[in-house]
Amino acid sequence: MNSRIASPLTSVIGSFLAFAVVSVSGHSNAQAVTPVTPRLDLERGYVFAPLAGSPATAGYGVLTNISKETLTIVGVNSESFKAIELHETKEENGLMKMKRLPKLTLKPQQKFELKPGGNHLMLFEANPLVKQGDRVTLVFQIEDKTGKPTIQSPVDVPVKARP
Amino acid sequence: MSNFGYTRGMQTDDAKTYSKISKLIGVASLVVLVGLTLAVFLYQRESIDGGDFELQYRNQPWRFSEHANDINILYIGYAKCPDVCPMTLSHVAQALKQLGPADQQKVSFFFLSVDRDHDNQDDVATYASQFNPSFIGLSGTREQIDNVSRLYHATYIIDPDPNSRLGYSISHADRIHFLDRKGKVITKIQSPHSSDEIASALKGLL
Ligand SMILES: [Cu+2]
Repeated sequence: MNSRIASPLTSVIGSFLAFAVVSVSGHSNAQAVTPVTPRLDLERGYVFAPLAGSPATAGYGVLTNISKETLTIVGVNSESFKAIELHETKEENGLMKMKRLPKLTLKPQQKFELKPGGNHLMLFEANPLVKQGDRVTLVFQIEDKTGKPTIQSPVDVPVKARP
Repeated sequence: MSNFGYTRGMQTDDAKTYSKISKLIGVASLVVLVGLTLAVFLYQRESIDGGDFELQYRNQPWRFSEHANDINILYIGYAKCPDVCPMTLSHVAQALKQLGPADQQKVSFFFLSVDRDHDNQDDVATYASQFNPSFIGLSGTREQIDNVSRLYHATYIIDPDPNSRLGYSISHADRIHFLDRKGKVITKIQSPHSSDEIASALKGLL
């Protein structure tokens, strides 16, 4: 029980200290060091290791808005991939049809499941060093109140081999 | 007499009406019969799935009948598909692992990429072989691909998707075809599928 209370407390103190350090170290640096508060979680998240012969792979998990505000995700990027897109796969007249979702809005605590054969992250042209067993950071871009994609929320996921 | 005549007259009229009706019924049943025969014929033609076909493997001519095994699994998709195709290839690879080594030898898997404009044939072959070294990745000319698509009633649609980095996506059926040595469809598994479902289908066929 104590540790459960302690951890948010520590992080609050940590953030406060970090902010204090940034403030003390001078205004010129303050812009570059924006404290990143995670707003999204990708429960049981993973990406499949890329395969030779295809520039594309996929990532899955349950995307959850863990913030107290409604969030609109407008993009995803990563140092490990050239591009990442949020896609949906739907069955239409017996055909599996895949389409990019340009935006995704999630209310606080709302979940969006990404699973094989359905919604997924499509990841393009992995860094050649990316291999199974690694962890990669996916950074979700979220719109601020003015509609600009200024808010970033990173998640760390493992790279798994295709079964 | 008059009564008789009247009655007779009635009978004649009745007979005329009757013969008209029976002619009508005759014509109608003929129309129905022809229709039914046509429907059965079309249905049979529709249900005749498959046969021998030609494609290309690593830019070399490839004919199904020259590579056919006891059981042949055909899946039609594309290599740049990130989600549905690799999931299916994984399911088939996992299903094969559930069979004994002797039974595994009796099953071949063929992956056809319909994306001949973007999928290099060596890439398709390499891609498929990573799921199981025995998997064969094929492509071909547009005519060859469309012939196979017709043989197995496997429609595909190339849709432009300018919002996506790939620029297009290919809608295709997520359907696993099990073929005999002649390329005829023995059975099919539609999506959603699992490796267990594929394994039990294989065990039933072996
Ligand atoms: Cu996709």
